[in-house]
Amino acid sequence: MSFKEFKKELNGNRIEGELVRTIFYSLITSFIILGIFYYFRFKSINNFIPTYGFYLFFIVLSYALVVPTIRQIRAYKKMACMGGMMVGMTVGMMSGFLAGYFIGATNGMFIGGVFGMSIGIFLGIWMGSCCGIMGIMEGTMAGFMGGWMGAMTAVMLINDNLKLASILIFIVCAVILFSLNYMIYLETRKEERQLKEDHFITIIISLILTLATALIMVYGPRSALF
Amino acid sequence: MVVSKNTWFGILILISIFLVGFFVFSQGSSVAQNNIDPNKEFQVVKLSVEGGSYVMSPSTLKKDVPVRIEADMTKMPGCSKSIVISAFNVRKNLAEGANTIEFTPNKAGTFNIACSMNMYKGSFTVLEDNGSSPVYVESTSTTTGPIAESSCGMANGGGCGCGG
Repeated sequence: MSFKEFKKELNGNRIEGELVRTIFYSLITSFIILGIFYYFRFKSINNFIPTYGFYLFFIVLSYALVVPTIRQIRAYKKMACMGGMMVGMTVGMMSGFLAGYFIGATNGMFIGGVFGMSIGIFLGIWMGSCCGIMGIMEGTMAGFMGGWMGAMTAVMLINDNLKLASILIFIVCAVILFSLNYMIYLETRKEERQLKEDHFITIIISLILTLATALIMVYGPRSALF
Repeated sequence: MVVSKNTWFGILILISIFLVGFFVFSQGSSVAQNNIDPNKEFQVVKLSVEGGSYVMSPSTLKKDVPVRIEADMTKMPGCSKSIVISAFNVRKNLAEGANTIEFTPNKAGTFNIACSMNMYKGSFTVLEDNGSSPVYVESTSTTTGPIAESSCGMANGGGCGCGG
C-alpha cells in the first residue's frame, strides 16, 4: 500500500511532489549550459557530437536523477543511522559510478577514476552526513569504490558493446535511485519537512556537475589509448 | 479530467529528452579510419591472435625501416584490439577500418607486444644494422627471458579474464 501512497505523493504537497519538477529543472539547466557551450566552443571541435554526444547526453540524464535525491534528503536534514548510511552509500556509489563510467569511456581509466571518485566521495559525504559519522564514512567508501569501478567498467567495455552497456547501466542506476527516493519517503513519511528551499541548489549543482564533466571530457587529460 | 502540474512537467521532461536525444543520435557515431600514406615504404606485418598470443608475420623486422602492422580484425578478440608496444611508444585501439599501426623500429632487439591489460602477449625481433640477430631481449613483468612462447593464460587451460 505504501508504494501507492508514494505514487500519490509524487503529485502531493510534500517534497516528493517536487521530485518530477526537480528532474525537469536539472535537465533544462544542463541542456541549456551544454547548448551554450556547444554553440560557442564545442561546435568547432571535429566530430564533437559523434565522439562525445552520446556520453554527455547520458551523464546529463544521470545527474537529473541524482539531483532530486539530494533535494529530497536536504528537505529532512536528519535521518536514522540505517537510513542515512543507505543514503550515503547509494548516492556516493551511483554518482561516482556514473561519473567515472562516462568519463572513463572518453578519457580513460585514470582520469575517469579520479573524477568519479571525487564526485562520488563529495556527494556521498554530503548526503551521508544526515546521519553523522557512519553515513559520512559509508559515503566516502562508496564514492571511492563507485568512481574507480565505473571507470574500470567503461575501459573494459571499449572493445565490446560500450554504448549498449551504457544504456543498461543507466537504466539500472535509475531504478536504484528511484528506489532510494521511495526508501527516503518510507523513512520520513511521519516527519515534518525541515528545510523549504527554492530550486537554486538544483540549478547550481546541475550546472557545476554538467560543466565539470563536459570540460574534463573534452579538454581534460587522457590515457595513452585515447 | 484535471491533469496535475507534475504530469505536465513529466511531459516536458520526455519532450526535452526526445529533442536532445534526436539531435545527438541523428549525428551518428564516429567511424575510425586508417590514415595511410601510399607513397611511404613500409615493412608490412600481418597481426592476429592465435591461442591467446599475438602472432606477427613476419616477426623479424629491419631496423630503421618503417613498419605497418595490419591486424586481421576477425582474429582479434576482446581486449587484444588495444595494442601496446611500449618499447616504441605505440598505443592504439584497433577497430574495423582502423586496423593498422605504423611506427619505425629505431633500435635492435626482441621486443614485446601486448594488449593494454597485459593479457594477450607476443614478441617480434628487430635485427641489427648488419642483419645479425640482436642480443637485447626486453623483459616483461610477468615472464623472464625471451617471451616468444608467452601466451595468455587461457591458451594453457586457464582463464584470460580480459574479455577475450
